[in-house]
Amino acid sequence: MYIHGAASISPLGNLQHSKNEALPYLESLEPDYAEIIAPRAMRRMGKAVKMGVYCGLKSLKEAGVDQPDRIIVGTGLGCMSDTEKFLNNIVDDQETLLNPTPFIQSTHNTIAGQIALMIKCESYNFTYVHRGFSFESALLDAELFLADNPSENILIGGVDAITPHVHNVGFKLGYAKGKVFDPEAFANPNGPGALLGEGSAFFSVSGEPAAEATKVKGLKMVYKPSTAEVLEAATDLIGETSIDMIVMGNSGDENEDSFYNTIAKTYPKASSAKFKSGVGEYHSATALGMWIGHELIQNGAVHKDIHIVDNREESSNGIDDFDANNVLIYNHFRGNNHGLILLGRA
Amino acid sequence: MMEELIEKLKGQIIEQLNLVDVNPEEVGPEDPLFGDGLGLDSIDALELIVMLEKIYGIKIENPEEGKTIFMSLKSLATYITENK
Amino acid sequence: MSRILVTGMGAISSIGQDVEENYSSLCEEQHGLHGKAIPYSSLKHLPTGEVPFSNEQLAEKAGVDIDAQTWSRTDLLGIIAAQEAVQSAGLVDSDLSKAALISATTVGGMDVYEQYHEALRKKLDPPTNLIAYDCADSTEKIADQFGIMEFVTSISTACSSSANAIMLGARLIKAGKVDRALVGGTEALARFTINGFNSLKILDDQLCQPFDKDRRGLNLGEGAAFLIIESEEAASKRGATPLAELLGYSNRNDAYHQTASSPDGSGAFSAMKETLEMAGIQPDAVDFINAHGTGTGNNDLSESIAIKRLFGKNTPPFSSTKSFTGHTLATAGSIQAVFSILTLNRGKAFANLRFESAIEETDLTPLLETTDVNYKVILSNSFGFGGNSSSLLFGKA
Repeated sequence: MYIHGAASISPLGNLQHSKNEALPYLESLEPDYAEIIAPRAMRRMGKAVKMGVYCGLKSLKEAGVDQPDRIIVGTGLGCMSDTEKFLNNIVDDQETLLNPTPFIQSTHNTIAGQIALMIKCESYNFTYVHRGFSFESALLDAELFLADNPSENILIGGVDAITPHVHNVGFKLGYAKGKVFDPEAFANPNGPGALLGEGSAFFSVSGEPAAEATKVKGLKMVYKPSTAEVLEAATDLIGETSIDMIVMGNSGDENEDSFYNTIAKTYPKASSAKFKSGVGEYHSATALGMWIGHELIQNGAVHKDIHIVDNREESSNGIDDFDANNVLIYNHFRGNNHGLILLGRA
Repeated sequence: MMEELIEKLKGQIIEQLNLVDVNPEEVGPEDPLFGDGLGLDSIDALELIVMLEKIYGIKIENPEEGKTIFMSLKSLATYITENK
Repeated sequence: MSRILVTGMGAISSIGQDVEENYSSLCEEQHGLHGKAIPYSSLKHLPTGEVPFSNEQLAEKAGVDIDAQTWSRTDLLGIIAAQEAVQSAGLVDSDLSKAALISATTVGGMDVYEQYHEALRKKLDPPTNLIAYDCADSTEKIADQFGIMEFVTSISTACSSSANAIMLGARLIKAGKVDRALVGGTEALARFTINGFNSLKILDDQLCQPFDKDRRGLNLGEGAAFLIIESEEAASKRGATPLAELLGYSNRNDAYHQTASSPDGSGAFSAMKETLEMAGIQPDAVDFINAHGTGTGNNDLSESIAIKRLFGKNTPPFSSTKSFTGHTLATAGSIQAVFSILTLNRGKAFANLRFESAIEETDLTPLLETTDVNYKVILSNSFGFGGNSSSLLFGKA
């Protein structure tokens, strides 16, 4: 599988916004959506839909694909802002005179559905909604198709958007940090609760190689594993390949770090990038981890908002000059859904 | 009176349906709202039915009736005036 | 490539708490549309296919401790149907550790979440089962109950969701990733959904009449249904009795409108056509169609047009079992799969209740009474919002 086009929207470059607003979570640096999405088409779209549609269409554009053969999206929570809006309306208007728009926008498959609608794509269209496996399922699904037919172009992506309510629920249930964002939290993790965030990352992939393309060498999904089982999956995936960088999904929740520490120790020569220091934790975050890995291979740099541990022998190169041939993305969601993706060069 | 109502409706529709790309001056009283013209769809029709009841207290029981009532700003204004 | 065999099934709906009860109701033409919205909604004029048990009763049936755990109604329905599927397949937990689990839902634990949402605005503390609010909760509860570890995921593609879950399970088996899969869906009624569909003005305030020219809309329902599907090798190795074969499947997109189907039924047409092509079956070899048939003006016309386009003069007998159960949303595909397999095995095709006269444009009349039949090939349709169109083809084992 080769990445022919990719696009993302995330909080990278927008950390100051959370500090300024005293937000206990990260919010995305949003583009001018009208660059890619016609205003009329956008009028009903909530944030998650806009983020997904924008990145989806942009990925296809970069890949030079008008009509993908399949559209497969992963989203853990779908369009929560519309869900919340409709729930509020139900109560406020006492179940009468409700506008249908937030309801239809809230369904999880709206993102994939809207992409299909906008480019009139009548092909296979799936949405996965399984927590930290949402994006990995989409990736695996694409892998299955490309194994049978490598010439297909498949659009895959992962997107989730945060709202104050999403954060509040997380905080009340004990898995989200309630404090204002602290950039040191990833260098020195303190206590339970993840720093929540959001993001969208889409990829136009194909089994056809392209010069200089990032190659997706493999994927492992492990459900509720022990540390040993994660290690087994990692070694099976990586084999003898020399890993330059591990894009790791440390969430800011200290209690979740042991898995990451084990993997980091197993590959001591690899540098590590705790990508959620720049994007926060959310269900389909692995997609953004993969985008960061892809960007690193393509452009030799990792965004400055990401907390890096540089284990390269020649430390004279700055982190914006990082030659990576093989990147491992390792992310787990609350210890239950573990995804490992190996990226390399074509 | 009718002109005022038409202008008011125009603003309410643009706001309700989030038609940010529409220039109010370019929408004539007899321009079709659905299909060609403003290009609204069936979801918009439902929203307009809700708006009609919430703001003007007029209930449309059958969404099919909406097609004639919402044909243009003028037909909508006429309907409101006749049914208030 | 391997044949995909169905070796177990489970179902709970407004017409029965297990497959046998569902079957009896279908034979006796007893619908389950006795609900009035749901207890905490004021829209009591809307008939629903409510499963006639409280959450406490469902928890007891499922053998789970509702106080100690974090259960939504969707979770409970799902566990019950999954348990029956696993038992009916003669499997024990150890057979399932290397299996796949693919479940489907559209609103997940919304029944819990929406009650909390209102409490939140009053700044009350959340109930303990709030953690069950997302779409993956019921899936993971089922996985954990049976120790399924190999592959676990959840799909949400509106009304085609569980049909798509069955499809993915089959593809994983054919790709050699797993030998067997527990596949299906679960959906509980929620105020969110009732109001959502009501705002689209596609609900019927009387009992729905799929494919009738005077149909007024759909009745919402709830329930769960799961299948155990296996490769032929895996099934024969353990001496399992196959109930049916999954001959073909397809997922396509209408790409016409966010909620409405295209006038020429193109998504439905291509899904059905591609399914038959995959199975290598000609249209005239299809004995029966378990239609999507929601009772809405839009779907029933669009689906009828698509059926006529594909089958021409040889339109097979068809019916909509949503006239019994209501539209169970994500569960629709899997519960129709169960009903289709019952038809293949028990030799009974089920009525399309309350039909009086045909839609003028297409002039198709569904099966009016539950009838003795000897069918070998059944097509089952599930068409949802977002243009998502799926079909499954089942054959006698």
